[in-house]
Amino acid sequence: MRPNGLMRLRGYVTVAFRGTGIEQLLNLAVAERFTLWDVRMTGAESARASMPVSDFFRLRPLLKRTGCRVHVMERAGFPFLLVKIGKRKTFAIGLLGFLLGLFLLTSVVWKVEVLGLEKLGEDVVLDKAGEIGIYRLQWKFRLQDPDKMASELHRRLPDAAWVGVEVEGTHVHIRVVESTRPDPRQLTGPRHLIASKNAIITEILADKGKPLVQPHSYVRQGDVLVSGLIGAEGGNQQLVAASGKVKGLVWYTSDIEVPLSRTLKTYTGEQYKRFYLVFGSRALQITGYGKEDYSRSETIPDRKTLHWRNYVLPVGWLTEEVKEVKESELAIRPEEALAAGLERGRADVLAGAGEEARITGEKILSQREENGKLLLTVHFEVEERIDTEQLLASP
Amino acid sequence: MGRLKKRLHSLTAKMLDVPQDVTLDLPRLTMIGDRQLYIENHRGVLQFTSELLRLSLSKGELEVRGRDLVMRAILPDEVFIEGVIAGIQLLHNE
Repeated sequence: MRPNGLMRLRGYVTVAFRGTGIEQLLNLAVAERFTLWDVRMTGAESARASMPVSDFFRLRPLLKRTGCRVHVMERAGFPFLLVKIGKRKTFAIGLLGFLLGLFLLTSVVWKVEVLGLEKLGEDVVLDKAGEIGIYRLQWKFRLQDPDKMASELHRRLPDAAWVGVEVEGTHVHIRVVESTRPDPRQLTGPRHLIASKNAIITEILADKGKPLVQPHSYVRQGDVLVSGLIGAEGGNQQLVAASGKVKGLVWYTSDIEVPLSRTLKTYTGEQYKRFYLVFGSRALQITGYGKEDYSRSETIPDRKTLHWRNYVLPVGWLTEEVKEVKESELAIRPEEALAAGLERGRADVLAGAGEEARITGEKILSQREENGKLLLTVHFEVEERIDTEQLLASP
Repeated sequence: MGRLKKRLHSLTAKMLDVPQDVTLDLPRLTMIGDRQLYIENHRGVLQFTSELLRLSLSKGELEVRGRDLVMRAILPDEVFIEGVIAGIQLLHNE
């Protein structure tokens, strides 16, 4: 029988018996409910057996009755280990010291991590966390309940919508969800809104300030549209930052050139392939020698490199497809050229006129063909925002 | 056990087809090849050497011969023997 874990914990001994009545001793021991195992005869009047320590102490009366003698051969199990450790004091102290050190080192906060920050500074959060006792080298048992720490920290961080504190081993994770706040209003000094272009006013909407022009009136560049000076003349005048929206009709004259022919590139279907081996930045051509040169051709490279995990190996290969190309001129009808030109003109004008612009009218002023091109002069009428700011010096 | 009781037990064992060791206080031997022997229902060790083990039974004796015999475990009515077992003999001393 192999001694099991419990037996090892309680300790057991292997003893040698000497005497004539060993069988009798065995029977007595069994009758007394001793636990015995590995009983073997080592000679005519000697035997060996194993038993728990507790049974060993009950053995004495039986020995007396049978006239046997006993001698302990081996001791095993936890109680004897303790005795052994007791003899090796320094080792025992070292062992205890190690366990204690391990315990102490694992009950210290080694790292405080802040997650989920966008605008708030990490040092700010760490500073506030330090105030409620979350900092590096703090004892873990001095930390409060995570929920409590989270609410405490939340109270100290007004910019956070939610704060979570999580203790994971020797690390403390602080999760912060920042509250989204509206952008602060831009500070503006007193100003006028003036016209950026010569225009006819179509719409004027003053949020702040005094409108000085009416729809359908003609303004020149630099004219004040919305005044930042409000109040009756005299003592009550006040400077404000005028704001609002002023739209007006602006005239543009564009000169547009449209070619009357177009080059078309078509593949003839003639093609061949070249194959290269690539080492670093050098390529060695393997196939595709001796093929005819096309007068016009297009080359489509397809490079393959070998990868191993995240590394790009300096070896690879390159396939080039060379295709013959034929170019042909295609005449464009004047109506098409005109439409294309107008379309381009509109796009150009709108691109320069700001976001809210729209074209309200257009007129072709002149149109002639010259050197294979169509020359156009077009007049566009565009409704767009014409207000721009002019700062006022405070008096 | 009285003779009547014994006969009654024997009869019951036969009628109900129960293993006889259960009712009749007979030893039960379980042997694994020539290396292990498990004896239940013995009545004590009479003699034990590494070549011979004599056990007392309720009726008679059991002799186990072999080499290097070791009692792996011993309980009031069970013995577990290991070694090279050469022979088992049941002796009726009546």
